[in-house]
Amino acid sequence: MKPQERQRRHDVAPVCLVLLMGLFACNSGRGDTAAGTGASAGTTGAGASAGTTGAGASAGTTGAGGAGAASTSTGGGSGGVASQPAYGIQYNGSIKLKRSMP
Amino acid sequence: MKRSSAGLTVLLLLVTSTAGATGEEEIEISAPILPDITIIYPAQGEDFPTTLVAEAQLMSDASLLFGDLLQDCATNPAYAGQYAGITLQSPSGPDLTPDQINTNYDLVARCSYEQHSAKPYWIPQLVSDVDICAEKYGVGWRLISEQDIETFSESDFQFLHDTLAGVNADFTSFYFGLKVFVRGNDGTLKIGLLDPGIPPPRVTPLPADINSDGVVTENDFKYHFEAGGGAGLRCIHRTPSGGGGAGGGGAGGAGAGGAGG
Repeated sequence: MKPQERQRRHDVAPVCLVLLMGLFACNSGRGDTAAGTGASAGTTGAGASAGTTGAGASAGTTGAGGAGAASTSTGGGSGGVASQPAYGIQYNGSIKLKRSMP
Repeated sequence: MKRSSAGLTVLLLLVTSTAGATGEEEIEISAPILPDITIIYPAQGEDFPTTLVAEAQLMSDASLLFGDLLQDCATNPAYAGQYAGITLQSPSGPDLTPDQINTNYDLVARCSYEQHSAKPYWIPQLVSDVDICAEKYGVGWRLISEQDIETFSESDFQFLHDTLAGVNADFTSFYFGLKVFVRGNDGTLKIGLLDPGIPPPRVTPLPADINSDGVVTENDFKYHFEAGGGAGLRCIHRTPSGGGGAGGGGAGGAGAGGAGG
């Protein structure tokens, strides 16, 4: 193997590692507990609220995750309530349901 | 060498995009936003606002939000005693139980009618012209669309029905209604039925003679829609479970603000 080729191999390896980490980080953000929505907006001001596992920017360590997001099965941004039933009527009066994406 | 690393990169991108193509979706449908009819009735027909700004103001003034009603009905000294069963969430207190939440919903329904003149009789032109969902609930909230309904399954409709049926204490049925305004695929305002077991079409145009005076004019949409029990205005927010979504606020109204968890 030529010295230049060996050098290229060394250059590529860290890039692949970062991509792999990004993949795992990204997928970890897709789980059931991936978190909530960011700022909430009620009429008289709900402010930023959080579910039990918190909210806000959720991103992979390599930045692959995407900002925002996430509502847990028990929470998520409505009028500052810490935790709510996962399905059915919520404290804020809305009906929440979870379904498989078509 | 170059080829193998490029292949790995492509594989990773493929796996990542595939992971996002499946999964679950969380759908939140707000409590009905109902009008205070003492505010909208004087502003209908010939007295309907002539500018969008004035329409937006009228809609905002007339809109009764669940969160605001919850707070008011539980604390207004003039009548809070009639709705003493309402439990407000304390930021530092324990979470409400499903029974408490259901009782709240039922009492807010009653209070909205008894104390705030709420009825499901919106003026269609207002609903069509003013994006009240985004204004009141925030980014990501919008009027339910015909396309939304097309993506719902029978089990979704059944779930909505069963959820509300489990709460309704036989009063103010309009607050539990699943007949709602929707944005049609053609952009016009229509009526959608979210109840289970409805034969198609679930989405139909509004009647042309809105005010039921036997005469159809271009001003009909500027009168309140009452025929057949009117329709509720419910907003929707859809979030793919699994991060990355922009996210929106909760349909709170007068939220207590950021209790966090």
